[in-house]
Amino acid sequence: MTMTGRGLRARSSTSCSVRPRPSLRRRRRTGARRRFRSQLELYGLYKIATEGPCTKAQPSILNVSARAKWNAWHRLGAMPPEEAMEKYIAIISEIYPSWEDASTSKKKNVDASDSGNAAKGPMGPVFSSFVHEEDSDSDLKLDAIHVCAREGEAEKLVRHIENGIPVNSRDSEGRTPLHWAVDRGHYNVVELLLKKNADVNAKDNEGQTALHYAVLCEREAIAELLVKYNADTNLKDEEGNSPNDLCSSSWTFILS
Amino acid sequence: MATGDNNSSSSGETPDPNPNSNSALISDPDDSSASIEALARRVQETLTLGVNKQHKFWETQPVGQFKDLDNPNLPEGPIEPPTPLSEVKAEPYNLPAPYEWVTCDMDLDSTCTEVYNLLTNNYVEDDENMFRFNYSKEFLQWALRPPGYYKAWHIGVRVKSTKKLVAFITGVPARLRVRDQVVKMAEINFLCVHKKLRSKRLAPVMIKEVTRRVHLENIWQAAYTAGVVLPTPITTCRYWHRSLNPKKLIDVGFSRLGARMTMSRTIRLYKLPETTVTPGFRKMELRDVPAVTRLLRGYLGQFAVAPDFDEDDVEHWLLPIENVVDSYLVESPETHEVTDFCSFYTLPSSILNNQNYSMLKAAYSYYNVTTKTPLLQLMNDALIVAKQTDYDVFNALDVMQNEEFLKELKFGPGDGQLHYYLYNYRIRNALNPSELGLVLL
Repeated sequence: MTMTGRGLRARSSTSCSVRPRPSLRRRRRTGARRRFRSQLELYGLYKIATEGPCTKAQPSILNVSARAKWNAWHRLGAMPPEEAMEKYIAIISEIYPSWEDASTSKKKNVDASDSGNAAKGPMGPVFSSFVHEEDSDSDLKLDAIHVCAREGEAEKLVRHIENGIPVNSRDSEGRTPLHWAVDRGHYNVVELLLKKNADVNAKDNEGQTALHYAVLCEREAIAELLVKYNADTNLKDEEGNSPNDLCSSSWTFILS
Repeated sequence: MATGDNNSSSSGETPDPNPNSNSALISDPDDSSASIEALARRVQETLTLGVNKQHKFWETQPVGQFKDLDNPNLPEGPIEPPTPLSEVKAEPYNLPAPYEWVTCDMDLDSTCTEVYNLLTNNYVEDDENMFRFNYSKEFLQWALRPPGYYKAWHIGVRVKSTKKLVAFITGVPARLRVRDQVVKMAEINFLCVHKKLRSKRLAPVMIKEVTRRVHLENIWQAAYTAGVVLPTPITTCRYWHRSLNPKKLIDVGFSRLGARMTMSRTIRLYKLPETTVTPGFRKMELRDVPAVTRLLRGYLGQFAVAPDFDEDDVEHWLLPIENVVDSYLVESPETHEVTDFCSFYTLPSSILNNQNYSMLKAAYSYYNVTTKTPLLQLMNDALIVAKQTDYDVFNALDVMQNEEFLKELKFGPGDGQLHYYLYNYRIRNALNPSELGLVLL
């Protein structure tokens, strides 16, 4: 049995209509983990759908990727190809929700040019937003403590500090955890770091302090907190700008 | 078997961004560990686009058909000759029983509000349903009432019993030049069917009805765009975006902050000077219409397909209207000659489901002409005035000479592809986006 475009579509319309769509937010949050698991699942389902049950020999344990794939296929045993297709579509629909719209627009195009449920109408303009590009700044080296600060994971951060990781550890750009917490706007983590005696005036490789970051990112409450902890409003970065110079808002606590 | 979007490769003109897309479901995913995800992506693409799809509606219409691509024996020009007006169907097409046609008088504020509400709640969204176009009332009145417009081309569908407006489609007249032929056409836009009626197949009958009304004015060609592939695009463009307010764009999910990038560096990257740099850069005024018309006509002549603007058109389409269209020009401080021109229109979008923001303010590059000022500098000044007036993002298609400034001015590629179409007019080979001199709203 081959897996045809038509077969996929037919399955999609049934599975889409009965299964409620998870909320966008939930989909987003669980996206990364879900995606990884889904890849293997999809592989197994694909193989069942196109070739039937797995009869090949298990690859060597050293061949991690091939073995994981074989396992994913083998695990499904004698699942009927139809069921595999249905599950395949269900997963695709979850990972790529817009695919459902695409399939609706597909239906639309088959019999006429109806608007369907497609976000893109049959005619007219298109809403476009940035293509998500992978990080190009891949030379950057971060420690776990920076990641915690960036992600706002206060408890983990405390554990790192208690385990002896210096609170002013630098990443390869000279940023401290405080820089990262300010950059991402995690007030509680900023406060926690300050209470753990983080250097409030630590400069990154471009001479910017956490207060520079707070001003640039217009994080008023955090900036005020930093000033309260004696952040210097007049420290100049490599380009000669102090937080005071960069501040375009009327924050009296900075200007004073 | 549904196949991928290979119309561009078979037309030989535009590079195919994904030449393997049509092997989506037959390739063995064993090749690499990333292939599962690639497969999933391809399934999506396979079903979104495709030239081998049936287009039962469009195959009955006088439009370029995929099977005719690159057929050197077919002449460029009208596909069907005009029919005598007496043979044009005199009565509107039949709608399903609960609905009736209505002509929407865009002079009336109440009608304009109805149309605005229909579009704001039901018009185009992004793939993830995070944004929806929010064309303002002023914009609609501008877009739909150019010189010589026909009220009858502003077509609504109401529910008979409640009079509620549930669908809309419009045409406006335009003179478009295709190579050396100037052709009277209708620009078809704002096709919108209420979300709850998407299964009623209203769109085809609406397209037929607007076509009928266009024919009644003895006009036999039309131009339109779509985000989907239909038979057959004259060109396929990509949107590019330039962040003006990166923090907000990241907050609302229009762009993403990479895990290894800092917000502060991103903000610094997109910082713009406070004031424009070109001497003599100022807003266009009524008295500039003749000079701007000369500039535009001279410039647009180089493109294969472009509007044939006269002074009335320029006054309508390019004279600034607050929050609708902005035009700036460079008047030489010495000679007072108008040497350069740039413009953008304002199309906000509703931000769906964000706690902090409800509206995204976007500028869309419209027509830009340079004779003295470097294009890069002129467009950077356009970015600066857009930033000063609180736009969040500046968008541009890769049409005309836009590619020359996109990357340099820190535009990033968008996920939106826009296909351009002509109705009842064949061109033999697809165009490169840079050969297109037309921006539809």
